Amino acid sequence: MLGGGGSDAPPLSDEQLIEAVQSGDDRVARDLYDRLFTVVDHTLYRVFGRREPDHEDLVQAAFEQIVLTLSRRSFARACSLRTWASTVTSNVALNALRSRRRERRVLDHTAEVEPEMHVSRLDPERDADARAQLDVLRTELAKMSLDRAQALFLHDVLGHDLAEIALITGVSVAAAQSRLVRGRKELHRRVDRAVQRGVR
Amino acid sequence: MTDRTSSPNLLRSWRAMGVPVDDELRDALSERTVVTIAATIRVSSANRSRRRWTRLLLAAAGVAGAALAAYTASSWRPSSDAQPAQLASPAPAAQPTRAQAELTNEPIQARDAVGTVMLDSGGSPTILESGARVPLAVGDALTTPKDGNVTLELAHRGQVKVLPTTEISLVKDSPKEHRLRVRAGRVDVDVPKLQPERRLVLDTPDAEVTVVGTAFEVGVAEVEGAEYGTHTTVRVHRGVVHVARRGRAGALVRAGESWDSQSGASTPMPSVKRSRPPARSGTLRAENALFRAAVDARNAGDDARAVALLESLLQKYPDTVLGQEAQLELSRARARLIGATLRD
Repeated sequence: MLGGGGSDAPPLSDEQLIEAVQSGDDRVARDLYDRLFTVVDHTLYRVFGRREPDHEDLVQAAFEQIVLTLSRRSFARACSLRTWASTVTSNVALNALRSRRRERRVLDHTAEVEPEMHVSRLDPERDADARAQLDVLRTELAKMSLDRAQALFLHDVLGHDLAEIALITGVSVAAAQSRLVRGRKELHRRVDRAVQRGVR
Repeated sequence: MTDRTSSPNLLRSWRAMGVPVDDELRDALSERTVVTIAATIRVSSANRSRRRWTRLLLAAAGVAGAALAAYTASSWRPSSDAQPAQLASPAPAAQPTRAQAELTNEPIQARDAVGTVMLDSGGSPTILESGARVPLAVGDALTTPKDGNVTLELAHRGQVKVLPTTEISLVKDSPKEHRLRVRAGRVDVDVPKLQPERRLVLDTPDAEVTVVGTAFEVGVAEVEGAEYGTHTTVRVHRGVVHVARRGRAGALVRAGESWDSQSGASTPMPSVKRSRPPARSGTLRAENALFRAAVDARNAGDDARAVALLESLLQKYPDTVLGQEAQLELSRARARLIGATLRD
């Protein structure tokens, strides 16, 4: 019998979990949660820089998308299940960030929520400044095309290598590299412009 | 910002950012998320097998249609006095009248689910997949979340929009009557004028609303101390609706009138404009056309064209509402192309 989370049963492999999801076996739900919660939670945290008020909803949405993509066989098994989960979650999070930008709610959110990130605990002014700069970075990333934003986030923030990103997103390594390079240039340009606007 | 950091440095500090572990959150979310995961696994599996069956049925119907056409052609003989022009053009197929169409027993279908819409079918709750069309059986119940909705499509081309935080179930579904029960929440109904032998009835705990062919809203609010524990309001925008308080005589409510189960009386609605959906972007038609062409290409097995069309869609309209679907289709088409290349 699959799953069940019994203490005696050996943990299911990624392959077994995926097979079970594709065959409609809902008994593996707990195993999937236990296996992927940390990566989903951390990816969301990294995108937003904090646990947002709707963090729970985003966790649910990410898990729904993970299951749907596994079930539809969108996952080509070219990477580990955790890597796939972080990619799907970053997609969900970047889309949420983009829709918030459209709703002009990003600034409201940053004002409402006390950030959990502390760059330096010794200098509150520096902390606030660093947080503000990272918020600008996130806001500008959300304005970019999803392809570039995702390549940049997966590489520069989550630390995946180019070959892995190419496999996950279904493009050649050259195309992934092009997205990354163009993405970085665009982001730097956007951040510089945003900061100049802020300074003036 | 006084001490400005360059964006490469910002990216480095973003990467180096620590993520605090929150075991309490993990435990708090556990039950709810595991239920969601299990429901998603079930519903996607059910949808997959439903799609498989639909494809099989369509194929069978196609074969049967072709056989029937072949049989008709072989058994048809022109009469001796028929004119050549008449021989050249086959008789048009008989179109069913609207009354006949209405009396077919097509099931009510739930479609266009937004948010986590739960379908409870025989005690087994599942989440409706957005984009899926799910036929409902008698006894099926739908619950919409606070930020979601779903549309019920009726056999006679009318529709019932189930608005956020609503519980609705299908009580009866016969060729002559659709009966839905709204336990709480709000629905927006829009149906064409129905034939006399066809009825759409909305039951609420304290009222019964019979549709004659109209557009209207029904709201059910739970009210402590009310006879049935609820208070139903009806606002009619077009046509006529028959309403009756539970166990009382009924009344007709006409366009521009509203009715509530507390007083049992209908009154003219204040002249407030109905909220209209936000104006659609002028590019929506073009976005849809590109996406549709990509799906057609995919269905025709032309993944390279599908990729080109989807890339074009995402490039031209980066903020398209179809973005997520397009992205997903794009990844799948690319994966198929890579697979095909590797196989070759």
